[in-house]
Amino acid sequence: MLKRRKLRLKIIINIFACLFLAAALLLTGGCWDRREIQDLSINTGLGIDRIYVDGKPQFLLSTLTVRPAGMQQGGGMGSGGAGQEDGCNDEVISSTGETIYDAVRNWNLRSSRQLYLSHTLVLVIGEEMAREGIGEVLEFARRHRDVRLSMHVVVCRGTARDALQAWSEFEANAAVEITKAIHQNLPRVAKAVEADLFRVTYDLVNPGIEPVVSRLVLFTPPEAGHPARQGDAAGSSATEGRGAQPQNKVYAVSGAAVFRGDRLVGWLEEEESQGLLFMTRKALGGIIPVAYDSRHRNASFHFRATKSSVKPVIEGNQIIFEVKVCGGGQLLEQKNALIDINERDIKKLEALINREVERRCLMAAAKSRKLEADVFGFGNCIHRTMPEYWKQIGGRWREIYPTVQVQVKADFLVEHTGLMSEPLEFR
Amino acid sequence: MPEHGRISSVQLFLLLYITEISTTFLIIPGVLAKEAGTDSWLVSLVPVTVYGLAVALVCVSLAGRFPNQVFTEYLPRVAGRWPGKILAAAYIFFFVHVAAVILSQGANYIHTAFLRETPLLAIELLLLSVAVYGVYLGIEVIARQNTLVFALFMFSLLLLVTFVLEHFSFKNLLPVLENGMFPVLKASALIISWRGEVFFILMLYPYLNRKQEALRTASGVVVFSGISQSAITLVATGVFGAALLPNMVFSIHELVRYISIGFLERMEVFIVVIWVAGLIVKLAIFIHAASTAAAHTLGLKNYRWFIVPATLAALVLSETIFRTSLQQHEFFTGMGRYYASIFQLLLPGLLLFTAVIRKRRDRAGAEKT
Repeated sequence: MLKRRKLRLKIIINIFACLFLAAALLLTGGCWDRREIQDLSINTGLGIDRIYVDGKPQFLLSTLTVRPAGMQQGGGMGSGGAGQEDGCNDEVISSTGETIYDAVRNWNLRSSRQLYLSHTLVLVIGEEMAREGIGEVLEFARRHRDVRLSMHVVVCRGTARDALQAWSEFEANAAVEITKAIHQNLPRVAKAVEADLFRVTYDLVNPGIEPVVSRLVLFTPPEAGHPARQGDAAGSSATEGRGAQPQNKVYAVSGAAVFRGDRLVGWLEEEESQGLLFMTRKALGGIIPVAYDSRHRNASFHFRATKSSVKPVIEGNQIIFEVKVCGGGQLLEQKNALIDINERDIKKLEALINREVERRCLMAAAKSRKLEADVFGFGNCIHRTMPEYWKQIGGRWREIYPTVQVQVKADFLVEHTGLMSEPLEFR
Repeated sequence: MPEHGRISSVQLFLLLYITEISTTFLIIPGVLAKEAGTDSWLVSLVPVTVYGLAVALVCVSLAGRFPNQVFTEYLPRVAGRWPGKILAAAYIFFFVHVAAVILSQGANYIHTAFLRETPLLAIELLLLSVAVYGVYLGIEVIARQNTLVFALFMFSLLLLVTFVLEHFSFKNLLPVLENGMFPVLKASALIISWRGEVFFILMLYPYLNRKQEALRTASGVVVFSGISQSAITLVATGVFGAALLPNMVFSIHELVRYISIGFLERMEVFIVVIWVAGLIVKLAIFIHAASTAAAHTLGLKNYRWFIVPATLAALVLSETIFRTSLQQHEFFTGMGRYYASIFQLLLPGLLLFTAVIRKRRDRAGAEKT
């Protein structure tokens, strides 16, 4: 009898326990920190500019946010008033604030949604902001719990707000386009540097290295209505299919912005950027045109996977950096060069390639010394390999850097010649 | 002995290992880089391991003299009735205090990195309630559950470290010993209190089913956690460089956030999982120790009476003296460094000395095992 009562009690307890657990399940669906998708505005690009309001410096925050799907068929308030017909699904919304976070929260003065930065792909910094210093911007981004270290940092000419409002030509979202363009750059062109948030902060806090980030250039596409395009044999689709291209500004990622400390001090042009990439082991693929037996460039060498090594040599007060760049690739184009596959011709071609690579590297070195910004991390190299010597010169590295000598020795190997062996001989 | 649980040597190993690593793995590279720079991986490998081995040796010798009793049980026999009780009270306070530290540290990470709107108290209560359930069920359950936690822990950590290796660069580990050995030793003071947690063998010794393996297990834990902490630090330093690490509050969290291999991104949730899992085990061990110690000192048979008071005390402590990250920071970089060593090495050392001099040992128990 007692046993049965006990059993019944147990059953009742179990039922209550089940009910309690079921009730507890209701609580698991939500918490204080729920961030529902309908309350968020997903941000893909972030632009930061310096503006002056009543003479006081303020930050102008421009966000490239993804437009909610339900609104896409509706009104025509796309990015730069365009977008809809182009398949663009983003729009630029800007706000100002005395600090960056102030601007982030002021963004909500005109928006019904929370700004969600977790999907931010690219941080665009306006030229003026960059010249004043990007320290605050990086500090904000590093401290924010949503912003990722792998976010790309670019500096644009003009203001970041204008840059974000430019058109994307190939992707639905402008930030995606910039990111992909940067990703494509190193293995295919190698004429613009790549820097993510981690890289930039790393270069800023480590001694003996200065940050370089990709440069974003805006331009109006020259193609539509251009005589060259209209006369083109393959231009039928351009003229008939979609009609002329709209004359909005579009992006290009080219060259590099050079910083000294956290301040922008100048730019590296495309060939200089390539030199920088060669010397820092980042060039993964691209074309080197050479002039073979001619005054004009008439052959293209396609390099892949280059390597480099830096060796500091100290002679008295003079610091010399011996840089070796080596790599391989193939000859992909020659017009009248008449390069045969024999040892003499190939060696001669290799010598020309090496000279061109060395020229690009030295151009980069000259520019960086002119800007007094050690973008190659030469000082860092001394710090790593000769810590004792670095203790003597580390404090004065920025003054010493313009006086260092850079010697570049390139060693490239022509591995293949594409699908053809001897050049075509035109009669 | 108030409890009839039995744990094996492997379980003891995993228990002591998780106790140490669960709260250190997340922050250790950042903490060490501040003092030791590029050499931080050396810190946890050499000087701290030496300290840990010393603690292990002292504690196992002390516990071996009273193999069937928990530390706080034989304290009065070694030190005398009242001094023993006072020492036991100090240890109870220490356990509760450390539980409060663990709690606030654990909740703080979740609060700052993920759930910013959720009050700390809510996170702390959730963590505590699971830990308390474990304590209620006894040490054997904690040890068994910990085996699962260990597997999860090692798997996730190895996976994440492997994924981030693509960013690893040996250059970041140079120069080696730029400023000599001194910064390395100085940095070791910051983390010795965690390695010293192997002293917990004092509280776990009587539950062991093979007591003769205790020293080997304890020193194994010390060496193994030295190697794993060193590996974590090495990877973090190799990826981020020593200059960037000191500013990172949760350096491994940042490391995992940096992973991006194809579609494999946003893997920090793994960190949360192992963080919470390890934290619960650690909390459970400390609350268990506090309540067992309290039961002995006050002469009660059942330690379960003291679970709730100990838990509440830990909660209140963590809500008052470790409310802000400034308070935590001051504790860890100030007196907190040496505070734990008193309980881990100094007091057990003195007690061992006293026990040897006064020839106190549990002879009957020693022969039985």
